[in-house]
Amino acid sequence: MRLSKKTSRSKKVAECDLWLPVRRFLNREGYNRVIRELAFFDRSIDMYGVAWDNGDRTIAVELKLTKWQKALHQAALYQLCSDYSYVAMPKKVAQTLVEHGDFKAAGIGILSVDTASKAVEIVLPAVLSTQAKGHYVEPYKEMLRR
Amino acid sequence: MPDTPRSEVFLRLGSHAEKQYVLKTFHLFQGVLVGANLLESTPGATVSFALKVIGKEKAFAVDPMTYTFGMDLNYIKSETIDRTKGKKTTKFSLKKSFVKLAEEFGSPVSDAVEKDRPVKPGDFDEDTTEPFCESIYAYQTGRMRTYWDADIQLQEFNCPDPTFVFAPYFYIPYPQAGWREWRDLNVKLASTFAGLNGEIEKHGVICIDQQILDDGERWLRICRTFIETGLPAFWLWLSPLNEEKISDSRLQALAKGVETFELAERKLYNMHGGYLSALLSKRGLTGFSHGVGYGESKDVVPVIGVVVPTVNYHYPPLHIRTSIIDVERALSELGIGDADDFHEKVCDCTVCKGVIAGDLKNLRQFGEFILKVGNQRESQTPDSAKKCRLHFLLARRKEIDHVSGLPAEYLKQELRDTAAEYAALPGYLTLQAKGRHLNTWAKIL
Repeated sequence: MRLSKKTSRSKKVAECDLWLPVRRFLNREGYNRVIRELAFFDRSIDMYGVAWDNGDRTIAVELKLTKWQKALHQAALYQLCSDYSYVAMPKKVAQTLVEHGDFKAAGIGILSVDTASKAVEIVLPAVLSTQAKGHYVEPYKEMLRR
Repeated sequence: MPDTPRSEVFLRLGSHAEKQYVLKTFHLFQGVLVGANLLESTPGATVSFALKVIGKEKAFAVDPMTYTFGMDLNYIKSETIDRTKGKKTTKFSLKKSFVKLAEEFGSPVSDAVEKDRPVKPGDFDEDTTEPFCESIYAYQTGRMRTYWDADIQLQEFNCPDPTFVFAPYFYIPYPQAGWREWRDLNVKLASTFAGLNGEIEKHGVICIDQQILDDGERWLRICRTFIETGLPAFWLWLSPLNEEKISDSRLQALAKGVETFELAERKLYNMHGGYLSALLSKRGLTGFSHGVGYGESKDVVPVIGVVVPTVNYHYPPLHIRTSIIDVERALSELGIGDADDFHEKVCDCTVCKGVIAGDLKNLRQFGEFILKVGNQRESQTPDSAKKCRLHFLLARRKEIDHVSGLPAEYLKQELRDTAAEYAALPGYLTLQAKGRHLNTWAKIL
């Protein structure tokens, strides 16, 4: 009997597999300080970054493999504490969401992650948050500045 | 003039850490219930607390919690360190407060506990049923007196009697095997308890799985059987009924049960309820009880663990608890631009006014978290939990006044309008899907 061997192709993708490609992508986009698991009330923002350029842009990214509704709700909450809020999902899922009305209506962006090539692209750009509150954003900026 | 009498709301004191909330607000409610295990574990503090409540002419009663002895005893056991034999050993044994309760309740509970097993319906024969009922009555009327008399500081006052006493009760595990035996035992205990001598008002408890509501006819027969025991009042514990999640059909069955008690001129309380229970006052429910943060639903199977739950903000428009950021994120879509709007559309209780203090950014105080030393996850600050609890209790009083003062038709329309308003919110807001239960609730008005 031939024993089957697990290959990289059959390996399951985990949420943490999205983190590194997304971090590299954010760095390239100018977000030179990116951290993981930033506490926001009873939630935890998967990734939060700051670009120290004109206006010091902040970005929050929610990583999810399949549950996009949950990701959408969380990303909408993170609009309170960031200038741009994104959901990052594997390419297959991300592409199905591009035309989704709720993402567009909320101004939440979508990042597509190719889990094989690790390439990340913006399939829906986020809109500058009108919900961002200084009392949430500024302490985070201050923390990341240190 | 109120449309219907205000719901009689009882606060349940779960631990003495909750006393600060109860002492500040119990005057707004009908009274306070205390579990017998709390009386046994902290007799002095519980007795002096009872004095304060009864001294303000509020109701006070001790729930004997007899049901715990009919369930897996592991639920009331804990690990203790035994140092008596020279070296440290851990043992898993019945909590001391329940050991004392078993001793007080006597046979057949004490016999079963001695054999390290729960009581069974077969343990209650002709010889043990009446003495057991007598001991449960004597416990509730006399146990506080024992502690009272032993306390020199309290001796100059008269030990108050509880306002009412509970009949012994056990969980009816409908529809699992053996549920009929438990039902028959509960009816027998209620009936025997009703026949005891004693001046204090006697209340029965119907503790049954919520699945009974799926069989409307059988449910009403059970209601009528309990009514026939002759007790003047009953407490209903449908385990683990969650008012927000109740289905249309179960709610209709519940409302019919409430009416059955009303028609028979028996008082009926929901042992663990919230705003839906207040609405059911329009169908004849006398009142309900809940904890201070919040305890509006309870499973007979206890939650075993050490995680301290977050006390979320009680959101009055939907009568639910939710994270304060869910609320803050939805403010602009709800047309709430400033503190005045918030007080007009969400809550104008003293706590909310004090916390917000004219600036909506202060709302975050209802959800502050901190990373404690040694923990990996942040937990709610005690101050934030305190604000949420006090707001909840003040908001609850406003809710019961609101229901009492308005006719059913008005409340029905209000629930439907609110459900429609929240359903129309954008789908990316968590509050959007949290108002659906209001349409279910509206159907019983």
